[in-house]
Amino acid sequence: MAYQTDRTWVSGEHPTNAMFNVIRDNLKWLSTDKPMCRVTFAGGDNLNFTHSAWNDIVFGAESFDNAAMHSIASATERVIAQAAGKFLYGCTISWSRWDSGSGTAGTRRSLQTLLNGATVIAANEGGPITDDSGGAALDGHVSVLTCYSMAAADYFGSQFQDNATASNLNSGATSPFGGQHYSWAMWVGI
Amino acid sequence: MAYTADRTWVSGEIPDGAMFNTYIRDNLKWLSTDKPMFRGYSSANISTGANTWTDMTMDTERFDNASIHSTVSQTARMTVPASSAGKFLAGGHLEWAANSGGTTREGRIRVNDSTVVGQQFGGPRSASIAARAMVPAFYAMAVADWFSLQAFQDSTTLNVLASGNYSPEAWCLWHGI
Repeated sequence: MAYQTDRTWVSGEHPTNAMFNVIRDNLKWLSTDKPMCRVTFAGGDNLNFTHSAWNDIVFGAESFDNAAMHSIASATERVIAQAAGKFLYGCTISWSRWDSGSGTAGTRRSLQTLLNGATVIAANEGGPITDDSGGAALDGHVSVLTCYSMAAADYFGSQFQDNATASNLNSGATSPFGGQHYSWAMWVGI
Repeated sequence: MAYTADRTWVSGEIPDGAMFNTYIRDNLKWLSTDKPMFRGYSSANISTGANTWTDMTMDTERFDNASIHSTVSQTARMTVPASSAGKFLAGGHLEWAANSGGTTREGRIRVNDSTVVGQQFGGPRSASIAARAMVPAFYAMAVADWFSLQAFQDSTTLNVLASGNYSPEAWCLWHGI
């Protein structure tokens, strides 16, 4: 149940249980029922991606989702606003360190967030881009955080891009995201 | 109207309409609808000089329920309205014109034009790829305190691009007392 219009009380009236239950429901909305989700990479997700192009980040698992904001069966890249309002949204991804034995590392590790698959509403650049051939290197990370006004059924989605040429950015069970990449959203107001 | 200190009800009292409106209706409205929330942007590129922090002014608002921002004066500021002191989340998004010069692209959020409360490097520095950065912050604000988003680069005169629905763009919202 969505947030309901707050009643203007009149002196002398006798509040009914139904009136009090609207208070209950609105408090429940603000504490428990407002849409909130956190969705994550799942081991079975397809890690292959195209370099030098934007790729949707798909999420095959959910840490929590109290309002069917996400599906693990279809359009798994989407986080859907099931109620209109202002939402906070965040996403974090991680690239594996680059192995200089394969191709070139490129210069970018980019993340952007789109509204309804069309309009960019947040973007950020990550790093570092380091070579693990010597055994000492760091994974690259990037996050976005944004606040946006959503209509019911609008959805967030995030995309990533690098300009490396080698496939070793997405090899192995722990790369490129290693279960670390995730997205989350929550309703924060009307 | 601000959030009113929650009433401790006393056994035997008969709450009147004013009590219900102040302590229940208005506080619920504050938490759902009336707490200050803002997001705005510049509809035009903003030119930035090298080695200079430049305010990101905003001439358009996506939402502003509490006169946090003005499109007429001090347009870089997101100001805490009367009776709205509290903890605020804030964020800013930047995209620079593609340029390989210099060594850095940075964004930051300041409070009252003096205290840096969030800062983020951007990238890449490239002749073909626009550099981007996103700056988050969370800070305790007094009434009339303000956030502002700034951009920095050390190449040459360079535009922060008016891009999509994210650059240059900033937002903030009240989160608690």
